[in-house]
Amino acid sequence: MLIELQNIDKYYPVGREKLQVLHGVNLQIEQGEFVGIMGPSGSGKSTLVNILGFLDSKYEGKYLFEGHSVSGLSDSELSHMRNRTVGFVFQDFHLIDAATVFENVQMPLLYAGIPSKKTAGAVAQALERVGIGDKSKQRPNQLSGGQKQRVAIARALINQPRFIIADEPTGAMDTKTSASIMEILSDLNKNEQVTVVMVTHDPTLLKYCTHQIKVVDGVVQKGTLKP
Amino acid sequence: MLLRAALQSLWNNKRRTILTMLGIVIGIASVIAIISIGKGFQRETVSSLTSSESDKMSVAAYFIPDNMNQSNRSEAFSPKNLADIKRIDGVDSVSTQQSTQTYYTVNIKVDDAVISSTADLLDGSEQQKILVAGSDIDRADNAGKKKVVIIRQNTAEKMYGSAQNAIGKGIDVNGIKFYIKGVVPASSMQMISFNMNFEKDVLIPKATYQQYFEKNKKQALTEITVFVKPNYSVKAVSDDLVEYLNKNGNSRQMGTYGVLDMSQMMQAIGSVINGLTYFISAIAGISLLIAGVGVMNMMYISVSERTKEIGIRRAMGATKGSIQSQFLLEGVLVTFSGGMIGYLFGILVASLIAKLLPFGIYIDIPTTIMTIVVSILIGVVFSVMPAKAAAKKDVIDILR
Repeated sequence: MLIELQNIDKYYPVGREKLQVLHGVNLQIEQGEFVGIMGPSGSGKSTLVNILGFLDSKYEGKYLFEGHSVSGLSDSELSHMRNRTVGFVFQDFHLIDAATVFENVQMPLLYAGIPSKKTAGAVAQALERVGIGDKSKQRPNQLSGGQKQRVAIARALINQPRFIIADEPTGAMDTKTSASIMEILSDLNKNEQVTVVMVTHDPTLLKYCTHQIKVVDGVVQKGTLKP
Repeated sequence: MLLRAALQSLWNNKRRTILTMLGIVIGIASVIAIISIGKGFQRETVSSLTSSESDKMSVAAYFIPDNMNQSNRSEAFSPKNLADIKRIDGVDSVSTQQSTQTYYTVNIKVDDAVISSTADLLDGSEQQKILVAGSDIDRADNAGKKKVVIIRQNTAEKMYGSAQNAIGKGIDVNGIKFYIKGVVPASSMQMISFNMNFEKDVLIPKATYQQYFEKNKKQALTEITVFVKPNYSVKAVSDDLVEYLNKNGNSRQMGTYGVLDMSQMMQAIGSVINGLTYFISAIAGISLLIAGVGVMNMMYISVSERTKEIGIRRAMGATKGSIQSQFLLEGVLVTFSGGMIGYLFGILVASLIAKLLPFGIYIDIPTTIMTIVVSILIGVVFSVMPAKAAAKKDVIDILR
């Protein structure tokens, strides 16, 4: 079992009141799954993936990652967890514009403590893997949306994480670009057994997924999709 | 890696970085310029006050008579005294060098008034002077110790109506009757006394002056300089010296002996100049403080502008510590490089100023180290809070 959530409750303070966004979430994700998270805006999808990606640690309940509880880990321990086990792909890419493509992809390796000199091969390989091996010296603002997202995927892959969290990765793209990005994620999932957790609004993308999670008003339901 | 990230973000905001750095540059440059000039002045002062045998410590011993009129009557330091002083433990040598008199004065009587006038002593070998009347003092006058004098035209006119009339007439110099041999124009006095910068009122043959006015006046030795051997305490030697002189000094019945420890005086003067230098530097240092606030301001702006970057880095696995170090390093880089530029600039300014001054500048290692430490310190002090603010940002809020 890669991920297991047990009775997760999440509250946001709204003024003096507490707004409950997640209600007793129980969820299991196995290695190698491609999970699509669907649900209306404000249903708690993003909150859920923030908890899954070790970005949010202020919740009640238990989060077991590979059988070990990550609830109650310190901030720097969680930082290491993020660095080693998870790769993020965001809707608006979240690349550092001041740095080159190479430097953006290289960053997680550096935070993992790998000397800059020894990263060139891995970075080149990751860029090649997403089909933009020739763009390493360019800056993100010189690239198209699809290319930026490829950079983000390369960055997410670089540390060989246990799973990738993709938060509406194709949200801002036309169908053609969207399809090419999805192909990359799907290919990673099928051929390299990379676990992918993807938040999306678009039901057509579910064809790439093996499992579906529906989040409605903070209640989570997981179902299997036909392969 | 942190260094590269820091350099990159500074480079991306070149103008802001340079402007912030400018504050540090000006601050450090003014402090360095003041200190280097101040130290140069201090060294100049101390070295000009110490004698030619500068590597040896010296003590000046002097005699103060109880009655001032007796001062010339006897010798304060007899040859026996000097020989004894040389045998005092720790004394290297004794110098009896007298200060040479650089100008002479005589009293001339103009009508009924006695006027104290400066005199130039000639031996007849000098360049010819422009005379209004009469003739110049020649070698014969000097050799014969003749009582002849050249006076100024205005004096001659006052006494005898005109310059021509004054020639061959008498004038009372220090109570002795001299003959006026020549008259020089009042305005040309500057020219004839080319070896002295100030105007002389009268010109007298050197030998004549020595014959009549210096004959009975034996230069009394009132001060000696005692050089102390290395590794001997100047204080101990001067104590021995005073004790000996007040027991055995030639003039002990007529006054008291004392010492003037030059090295102590030098130290006192040196420390006063030093204190003054540091005081002015401290005032200049206030500009550093203001520059530091500028750095802080820049860092806060930088942190808020780069909130997204902080969030991305945190999501990629950067700990709070590494975010904090990144911003801290940025601040320190600005102040450190600003400090180094300021240091060089300060030396440049100081050496330009020193071209107009009679002494050179002086930079010592402690000042250099101080510059480095201060500039780094400013960077740390004024970047810690913005860096902490950067590290404290909530990742989820940023990435939402």
